[in-house]
Amino acid sequence: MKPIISVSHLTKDYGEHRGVFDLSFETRQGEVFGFLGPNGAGKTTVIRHLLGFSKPQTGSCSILGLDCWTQPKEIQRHIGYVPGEIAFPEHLTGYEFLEQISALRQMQSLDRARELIAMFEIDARGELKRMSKGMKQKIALVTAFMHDPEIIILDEPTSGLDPLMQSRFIALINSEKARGKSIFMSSHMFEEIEKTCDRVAIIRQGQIVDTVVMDEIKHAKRKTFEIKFASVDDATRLAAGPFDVQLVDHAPTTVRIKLADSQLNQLLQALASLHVLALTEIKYSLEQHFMQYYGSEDHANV
Amino acid sequence: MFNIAIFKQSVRKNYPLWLLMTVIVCFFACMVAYLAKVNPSLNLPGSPGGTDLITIYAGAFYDIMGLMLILVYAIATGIRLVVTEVDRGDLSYTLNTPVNRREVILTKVVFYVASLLAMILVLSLVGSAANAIISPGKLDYGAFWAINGVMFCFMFAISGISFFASCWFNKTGSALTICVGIPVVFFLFNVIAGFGSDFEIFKYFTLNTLFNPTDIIAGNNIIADTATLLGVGLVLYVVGIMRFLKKDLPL
Repeated sequence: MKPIISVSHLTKDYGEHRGVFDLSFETRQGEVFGFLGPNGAGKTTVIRHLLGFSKPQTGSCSILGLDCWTQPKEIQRHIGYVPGEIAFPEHLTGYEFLEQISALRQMQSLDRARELIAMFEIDARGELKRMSKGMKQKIALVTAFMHDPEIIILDEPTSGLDPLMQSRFIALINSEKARGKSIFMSSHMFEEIEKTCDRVAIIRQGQIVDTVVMDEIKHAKRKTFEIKFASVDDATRLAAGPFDVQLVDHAPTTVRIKLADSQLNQLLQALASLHVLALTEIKYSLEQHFMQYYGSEDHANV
Repeated sequence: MFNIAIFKQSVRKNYPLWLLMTVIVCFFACMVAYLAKVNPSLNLPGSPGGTDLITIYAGAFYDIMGLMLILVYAIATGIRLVVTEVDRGDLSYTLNTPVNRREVILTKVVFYVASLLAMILVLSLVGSAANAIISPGKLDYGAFWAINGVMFCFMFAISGISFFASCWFNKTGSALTICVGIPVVFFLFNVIAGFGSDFEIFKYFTLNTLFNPTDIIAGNNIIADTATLLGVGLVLYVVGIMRFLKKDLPL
């Protein structure tokens, strides 16, 4: 299948290890592709290249087979974009701004814009500069979606939205995905990535360190359970069995056990003769996966 | 190569300042005509020796007042047209529509030059009309229009500096330093060059000497001066456009 976005050996060196280095990836038709990394990892640099704002030092970027640097005008017919930093023209109301953009896009109607305005409960009559950050973010989302583009590129789209609007945003992404749209989304929030993305590229210091299929994370074949026993004795007895058991240091009556789905019955049989107080599954999350590449010291920045 | 939606956007954004400066500059042009009527022996400061109305214009209007107002518009608009939009980031929305950079920048150039031309044209028309009504028969209309014509060429060159700086830099502050600084230095050098023959060399480092209303009234050959102004402007515009087309935009 032809790729939607194709980045091939892209390098842009801003010095002092900032930028992106020999970075390659492809996204597919109908896929929500996440781009996960902390601030300064190179997410926005890649997006600038996709939009034709920056020229690659080496390598290339293309969307639908069109070169991002030399054919941005053709590409723009097919994409909608939400910038990471929202900066609107001064002295315009929300409606005036949307009309200006629709004139540039030579759009025939503002019907879809009105639908989105209703969905996000926007009051677009006011002046842009007087709007709250969340309201501006919503206007930016309308701008990106109102011409019903096939491809949507979002740079940290939910920063500034309250939790209610975040979930409405996730619903919008999932409905656009259901309509066959291809979506590329940079983010540093695990939750929105987990709820929307099919595949996730983890970016670190300008390089992709791993590309994860979200289904494999969600339905991992190996599971981790935490089991709390009434006595230390019971815990030791289970540890002596055929399982991959980890004792939890500070709680001698608790063990962590990793096992494949096929071993589940075996575990239940073993537990039947022991006094179990609690049994919890520890979900393997994108966050845990991500932390393999970033030490806990980086956690604060993510 | 020309995009009507971008042109409209530029008009909408810049017409308040254009209107304000045009009204004020026309008001001053009418004031000169009025003062000449109520005080026929008027000898305004700076007007070299004559009570001839066009000479009064040359000394009192084109020397500082009229020139400054148009210059303020030219510099402010040059900055607002490009670098402010890059620095603030709102250019991103324009470029995320099916227009390319070339259309954007060429349309902005057309707007910019046309707005300067329109301002000076309105000034010429209003000035001529005011004089015809207030003090008929006193003004040398040919010289008045010729001065305004050369002033446009001068503004074209100065606006070229502003436009060039606006395209070259990504920060409004850096661009402002250039496009306010250079015209101010030009004015200073023009004043210094007038101190006497010892300082005459300064006239080669300012564009202001190329716009000399007194020379135009005297009927001196100003073709070379005017061509230089147009040439300087043209080069600055072309370099500015090239830079804008090739550079990385921090949007």
